[in-house]
Amino acid sequence: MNCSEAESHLSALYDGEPVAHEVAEHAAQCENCRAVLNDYSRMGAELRLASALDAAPLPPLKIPKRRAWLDVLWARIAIPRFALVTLLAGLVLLPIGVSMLRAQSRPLWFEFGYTLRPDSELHHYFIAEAGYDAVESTLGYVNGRPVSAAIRISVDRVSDDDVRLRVRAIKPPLTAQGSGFAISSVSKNSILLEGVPAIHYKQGDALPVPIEGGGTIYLKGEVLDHQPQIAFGYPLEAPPEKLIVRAPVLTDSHELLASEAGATALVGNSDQAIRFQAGSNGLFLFSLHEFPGAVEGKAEWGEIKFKMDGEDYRLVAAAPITGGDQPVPVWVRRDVSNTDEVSLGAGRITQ
Amino acid sequence: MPEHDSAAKASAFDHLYREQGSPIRRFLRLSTGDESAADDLTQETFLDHWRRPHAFNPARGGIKAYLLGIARRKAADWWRAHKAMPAAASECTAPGDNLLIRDALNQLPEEARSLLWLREVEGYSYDELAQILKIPIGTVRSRLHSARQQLRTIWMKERK
Repeated sequence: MNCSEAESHLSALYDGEPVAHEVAEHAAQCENCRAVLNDYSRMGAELRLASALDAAPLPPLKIPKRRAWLDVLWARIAIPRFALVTLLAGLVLLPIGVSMLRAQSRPLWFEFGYTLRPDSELHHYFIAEAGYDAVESTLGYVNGRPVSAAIRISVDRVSDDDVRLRVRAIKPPLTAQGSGFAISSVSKNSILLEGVPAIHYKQGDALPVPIEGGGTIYLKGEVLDHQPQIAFGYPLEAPPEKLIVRAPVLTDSHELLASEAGATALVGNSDQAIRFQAGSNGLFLFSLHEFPGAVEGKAEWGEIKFKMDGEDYRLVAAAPITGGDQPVPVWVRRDVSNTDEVSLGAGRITQ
Repeated sequence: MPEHDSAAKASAFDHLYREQGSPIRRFLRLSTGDESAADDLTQETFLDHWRRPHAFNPARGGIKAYLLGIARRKAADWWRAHKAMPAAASECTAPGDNLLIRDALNQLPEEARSLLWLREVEGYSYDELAQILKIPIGTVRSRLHSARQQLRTIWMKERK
């Protein structure tokens, strides 16, 4: 072993740490290495002396005072694991419980109607709360034949998930009226619900209700968290994805083209449109979905604006035309060859 | 917390401060080279322990090593905040202190200075130094060797 090999171990040797036997042997015999160890020893002694000479009085420690109640808040307490888990579970479940209680205490409304085909739009809306019990009548045509029904519906419960109800439909007697038919009045006593099982209706479904005496009628509806306003069988608050035109007035930039007070039409399906026959000014079709030959306009609350052949048109209705964020794009087509009398309705879009 | 418990705690803490305050303060003086900073950081070191006494785990080392660990972090924070300040070597020399070793020590890098001080003046073992500085024992050994070599070179030059 030589000095350069031993050098890196001299510090450890000086500190009394274990070093190789050869290092200790070399250091004991080597004058240079002993000189290094002596220097280390002197340096250490002088450092300790410097520290001793430098000992200034220690300034007093300033511990901030806390008020007694704060001490209580800061104090640690032992909580059994079970209690901690229960507390945490309670904190998680409490908001759920509160929301459930709120949901239970909040009145919910069932807006519903009947159609003769499962995919048809409702054309007359009713509103029910829990406890509703009434008879409604409807008359329509399926495949050219008149279909009528008197339906008694009793709503037991309205919740966010479903509506529990009992329903029974019978074929009411029809009486001739002019060139058509009229439904005779039907009372609750004629449609008893004893023995009729309760049904859980899921909103959005078309619930088939067999008509005693022949045929089927479909119940459709949705649960609302507020009481909807119904006027002349249609909701005043237009839902998104549906167009409801009530008592429309159509103008261009010069004159009134047509007005149909008291009439309402509704469409929701993409292949159907509101048909506003403006007399000799032609037939105007309105849809929320683009269709051949239509120009784009904008519906904003109770108004539809559109431009066609350089002319600005405006349709004003007595209630909001569609729901959701406004304005909403609307497609409009004009058929000038159709010059029937002024009328408002809904129907399939034809070429 | 009952009042007598609080008073007993304050008394025990005062005792700890009187026992360990001076070496912590010396270390901080050496680390920062600034007397008033060393006083402030000593206070902060002990207040940290006062506020969070349960952070000290006796199974992981003695209270002195634990307090020095806090002091080291305080000194490092202080240096980060005072990067633009001039080196503290001359400031650390007290008036009338003409010991060459002190000047030589102040010329060492901060890391080497602290390590050598903790070993020579405070008397920490290699194990304790490894815990305080959070480095392996082998690194303590090699760094001490390097620090001593550097100090000896400077010290011998100053003696001539």
